[in-house]
Amino acid sequence: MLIQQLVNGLFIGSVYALFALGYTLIFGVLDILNLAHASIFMLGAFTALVLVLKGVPLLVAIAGGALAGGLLGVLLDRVAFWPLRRRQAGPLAPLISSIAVGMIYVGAANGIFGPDVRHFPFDVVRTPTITLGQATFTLAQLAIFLGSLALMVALQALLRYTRFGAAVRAVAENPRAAQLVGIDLEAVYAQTFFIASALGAVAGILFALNFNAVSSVMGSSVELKGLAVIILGGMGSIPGSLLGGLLIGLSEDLSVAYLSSNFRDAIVFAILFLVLIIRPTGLLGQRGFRSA
Amino acid sequence: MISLDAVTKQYGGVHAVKELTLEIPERMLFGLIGPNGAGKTTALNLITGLAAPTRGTISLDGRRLDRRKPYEIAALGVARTYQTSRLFPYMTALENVVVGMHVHARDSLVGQLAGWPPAIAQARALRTRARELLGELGLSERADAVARSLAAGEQRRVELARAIAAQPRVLLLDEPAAGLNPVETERLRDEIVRLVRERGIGVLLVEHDMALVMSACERIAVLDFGEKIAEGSPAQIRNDPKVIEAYLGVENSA
Amino acid sequence: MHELVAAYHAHSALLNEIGINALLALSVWVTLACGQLSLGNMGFMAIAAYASVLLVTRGHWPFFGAALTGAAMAAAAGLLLGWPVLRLRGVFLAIATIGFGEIVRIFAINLPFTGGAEGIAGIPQLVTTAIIYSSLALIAFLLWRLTRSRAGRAFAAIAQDEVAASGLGINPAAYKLAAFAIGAFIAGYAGALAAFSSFFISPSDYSFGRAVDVLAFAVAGGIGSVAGPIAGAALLTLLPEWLRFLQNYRDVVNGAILLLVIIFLPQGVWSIVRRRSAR
Ligand SMILES: Nc1ncnc2c1ncn2[C@@H]1O[C@H](COP(=O)(O)OP(=O)(O)OP(=O)(O)O)[C@@H](O)[C@H]1O
Ligand SMILES: [Mg+2]
Repeated sequence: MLIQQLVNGLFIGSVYALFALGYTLIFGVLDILNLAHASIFMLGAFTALVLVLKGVPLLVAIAGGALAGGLLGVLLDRVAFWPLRRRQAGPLAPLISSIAVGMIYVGAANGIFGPDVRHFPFDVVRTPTITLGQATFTLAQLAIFLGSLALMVALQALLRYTRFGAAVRAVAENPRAAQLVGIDLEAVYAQTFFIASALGAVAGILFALNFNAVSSVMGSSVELKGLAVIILGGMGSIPGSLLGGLLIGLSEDLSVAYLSSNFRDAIVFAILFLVLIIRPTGLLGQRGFRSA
Repeated sequence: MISLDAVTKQYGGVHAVKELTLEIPERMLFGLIGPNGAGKTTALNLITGLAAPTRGTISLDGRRLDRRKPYEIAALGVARTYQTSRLFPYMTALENVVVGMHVHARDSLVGQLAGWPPAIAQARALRTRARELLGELGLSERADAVARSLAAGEQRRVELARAIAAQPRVLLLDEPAAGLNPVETERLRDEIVRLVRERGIGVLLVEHDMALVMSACERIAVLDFGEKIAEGSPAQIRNDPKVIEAYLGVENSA
Repeated sequence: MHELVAAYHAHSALLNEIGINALLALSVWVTLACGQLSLGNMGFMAIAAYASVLLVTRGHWPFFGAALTGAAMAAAAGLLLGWPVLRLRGVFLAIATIGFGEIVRIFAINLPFTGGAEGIAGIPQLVTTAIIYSSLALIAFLLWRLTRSRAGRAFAAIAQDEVAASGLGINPAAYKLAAFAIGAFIAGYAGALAAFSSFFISPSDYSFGRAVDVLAFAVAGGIGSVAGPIAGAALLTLLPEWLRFLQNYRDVVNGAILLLVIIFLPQGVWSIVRRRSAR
């Protein structure tokens, strides 16, 4: 029982972590809390669903969803944040403009797909189950877990070992200084939004596959948990997101199993609140990707 | 009146201020000079509670200031200006000065909420006084301009007006002449001298402009690498070989 | 005749909603005026709503006694929340307050006396449009006077430069706590008004989404004055009604208009009115 709960918690936690990476990346580079992120999570899932229903193989559909999510992220940056950057607006305006774009994206999904919950075809999501000791899980769950981990490792490597990563870190550290050494700020911002949003979209697809449900409101079930993840792990830290995601996933499943399912979310937010008060930098906040 | 007793402030391995002992008497225009990074701003931050000393004590008329919060120190009669202006950017010059009167303002909240006439009259009196103060500093026309739209020299004078408005016993000025032209500097000097003579405020003037410090201050202390290397009258300071060396060193490297 | 009555009821409900939203917008505005972004106001609203409903239905209290008690409880919760989060800034403060709001909501679902996820039904309609708007007028007036007072100046100073403010003798912690408590009181009072002007309350009335909407009211209306949040609440409450004909696409246009306001009216919609009257 305990092992099974741990395994379940790890699966869902890895999806939370992937989703939260988008928050952390954008906050780290632009100091913005992007409240449209959950809507891209949802649109990524819809895109993959549409592709799958058109007969596209699942892996290609996931890539397509990621691409769509990334482009929606770049669009988001252009319409909601770029104009505010230009006039050096305070921190409040971008928060509201990201909410506005989130409304537009969710509204579009509502208009196109209606308010009902959609499902992937059964033969797409049905995979063999694996039993390891006391834990049972599906091949798909395992793939989701490993896929999330691989994407996070890839992102960390990208930031640490490539020219692009160096530019992102420089901009996160000090945009003005980065500009002085010849880094194109706007290009870095666009790329950051593309990557963050593509990851968010993949998280949405994996989440939808895990529960086999896609709906226009699915973002609201993760947007606050994503915040809890980055606060717990440390804002701006990629390993922190992973750790935070796994811990939140585990705490959810364990609290359902051993406390009461009613207070499941209260425990997540109590953790969030306590971490903010006791250690606002989170568990790994000091080792953020600014210094990766 | 203000005394620093063997005050040290360390930032990591850096001794920003080291074993500094200073006594600033009442009604005196006291100069604090030193090359860049000597620890002058840090000394002001220590007095105003923005930084806590690593060792040593600071007191105002025998009352300990260290370990008090900045707002408590301000309420005891210590006001300051900042090296880079810290006006409230979206308030007008006048509103900035009115906020400066916070400690002494008596327009009670309840009276204001109820629209009680004496409270409203009080608030009006504050604005009148603020306008006068700006007038004394030659800023009458700029009183209703938003602070961040003011020229740098004007911002400095508004900041000075805001500090004076607090009716301090001691006023700490961090490079008030930086960026001013000679005419403005001359004027600033007269204003500072007048503050000491007419209002009886003690002033601690941190400044790079030697001519200003030498002509205005009665007594001067010199910091170098956080340590006090000399203290005395302008004439003594001017001829002190240690001071000359500290400054020549800077000029040579500059 | 029936249609007339129905139309009146439909409109009075909308009118009530505008008034209550305006109060909620003012409640976030108060904390913003002191430089703090709080998204926990739904938690305060819920505390006062449940408390006042229980006091009236079970304790047989009169409405105003119950509403003010509920609001006072919300204010006390505001102090309790405000104290530990004093040192948090910006987004971190916002997230902490979101956490608080969610915890309150989850408790509302699970406590034995709050009616669970279905909430409490059959609440007597004790609140009229007149009560809502006279409350709004009084609170807006008091807040306007507050901005003119010593405390109001201190709020603005803290919001613009906390260090400079404390250097002038202003105690930031005290004023921030006061702002939290005032905001919580207003949100709580609005919660009581809302509860007694509809037949039922449920935890979903106090969701994160609503907190975000309320913040949008204040910012889109303009946080430079008391009138801004009221104007923003009116506009953004009416907008979805006007856009009903778009059906499922409604939020696209709604969001687009909010986006245009934020991008092209940095001082909020109220600044248009002000500019007109200044001419
Ligand atoms: N908050 C801080 N953290 C770390 N080091 C600091 C801090 N404040 C000052 N220092 C260091 O302490 C030393 C003294 O700095 P301070 O600003 O007091 O010098 P100053 O005399 O005011 O110089 P200037 O003439 O350039 O204004 C410098 O080496 C500075 O880098
Ligand atoms: Mg300095």
